[in-house]
Amino acid sequence: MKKLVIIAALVASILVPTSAQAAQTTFAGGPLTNLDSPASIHIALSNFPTAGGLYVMECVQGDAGVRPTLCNAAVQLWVSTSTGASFAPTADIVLKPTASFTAGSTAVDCTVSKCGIFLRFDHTLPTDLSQDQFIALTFKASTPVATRPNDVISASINGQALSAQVPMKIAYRQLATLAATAQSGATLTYDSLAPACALKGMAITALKGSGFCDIAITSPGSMSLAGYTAHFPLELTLGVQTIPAIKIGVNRKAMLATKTNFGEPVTYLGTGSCTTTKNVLTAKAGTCTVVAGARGQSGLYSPLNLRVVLKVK
Amino acid sequence: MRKSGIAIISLALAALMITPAVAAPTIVKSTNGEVLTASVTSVKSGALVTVTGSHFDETVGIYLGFCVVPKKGSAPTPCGGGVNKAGTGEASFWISSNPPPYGVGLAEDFLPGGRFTKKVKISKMIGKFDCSKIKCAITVRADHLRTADRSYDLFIPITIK
Repeated sequence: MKKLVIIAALVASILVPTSAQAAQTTFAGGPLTNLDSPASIHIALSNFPTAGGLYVMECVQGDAGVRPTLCNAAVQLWVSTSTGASFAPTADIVLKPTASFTAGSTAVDCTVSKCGIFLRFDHTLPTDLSQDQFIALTFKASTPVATRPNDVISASINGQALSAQVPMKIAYRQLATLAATAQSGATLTYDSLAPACALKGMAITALKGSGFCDIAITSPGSMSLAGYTAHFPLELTLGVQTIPAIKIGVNRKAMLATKTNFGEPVTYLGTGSCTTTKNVLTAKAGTCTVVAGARGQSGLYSPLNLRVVLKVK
Repeated sequence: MRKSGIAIISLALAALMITPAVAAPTIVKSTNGEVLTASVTSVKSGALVTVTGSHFDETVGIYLGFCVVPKKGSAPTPCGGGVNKAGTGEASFWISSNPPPYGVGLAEDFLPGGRFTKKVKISKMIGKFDCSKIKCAITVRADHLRTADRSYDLFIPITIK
């Protein structure tokens, strides 16, 4: 019979939830609901145990009968008569829980999770659950942070507006001068994210005749506009070789360019009323046709194929 | 990393000519099409050798200098003038059309078509190394942004008279 009583007592103790166990300490205090973060909760404890001190913690409520594991170590209090305690048992105990905290690697949002004040025996009685009790807290729903719209960046190359969606075409070694402004008026920073485009100051130089570049322009934003990086794609195309205009002087001769703007040797063929010897053009009265040619370079620039018709008086 | 097989095409025109007036340039081509030419390859210490390059990849910066020929697969070092990040001097040059911000104004751009022309000063001694006794060469390598990339290395051996 004696054994039966002991077993019944044990079963009863197991089945009773932790929070409902006969906690000796009486909790009084507040506020407990609709709290700001951080909150200041004033606590008065009575029937304080003599066996040991208490920890007063902010925790996420554990499963029934299980001690909470997600607790806010930053606001934990040790209430004890021992030296070094946060508060004496008879003091006006002030706990400052927060609406969010990190427990280990877990981020806790007390506007979502069920948080509260958890009392338990301190380290002197770590396995004694008799003082465990959980007092629920609620926090005000977090005020949504006013989101600023992104800054708006407008950019152009050689006066032609750039698009973030449609790449602008620029040719190999084409003179390309970048300009940009931000709606915020902030000072912008610039970067070329592809090695095929060199960016020196505001000058972009395409170093390839095919492929794409990405010009990134960043605004730090302002009080009313969020910082933003705009990306403007560029499509690279073959460079265009040129030579100076072919003109015949009064002596009906002309020294023509020996190289193109990209350094390729130029060959000439004069027909009609003119002939060419290397880069020297000699003409007579009549119609002179000059064909100029130069090799291209794969992936960089096209061959030069130029035909010029001149009326020689 | 590109295969760095290098074909050396020596224009041995001088050997075919009865009275060569000018030493033939030596041309080195990489399998990637880069062409490096030295006006002469046998010079006295202190001479300036005209070196031209073409068809180089303008998106990859290079150093051009006179260096001790390294073991195959090793980085060329030491070089006359060292690694010329300052972009000055005649012993080595930094050529890059797209250098990092600190290199703007120091590195020289490639000319269109991946071209360059420089006069490289040849010195008998590179540090403690005597180029009349060991192999030294006009050397191109990728700049310090691609230090370990040997695929851009090109050498034209130079003989010190």
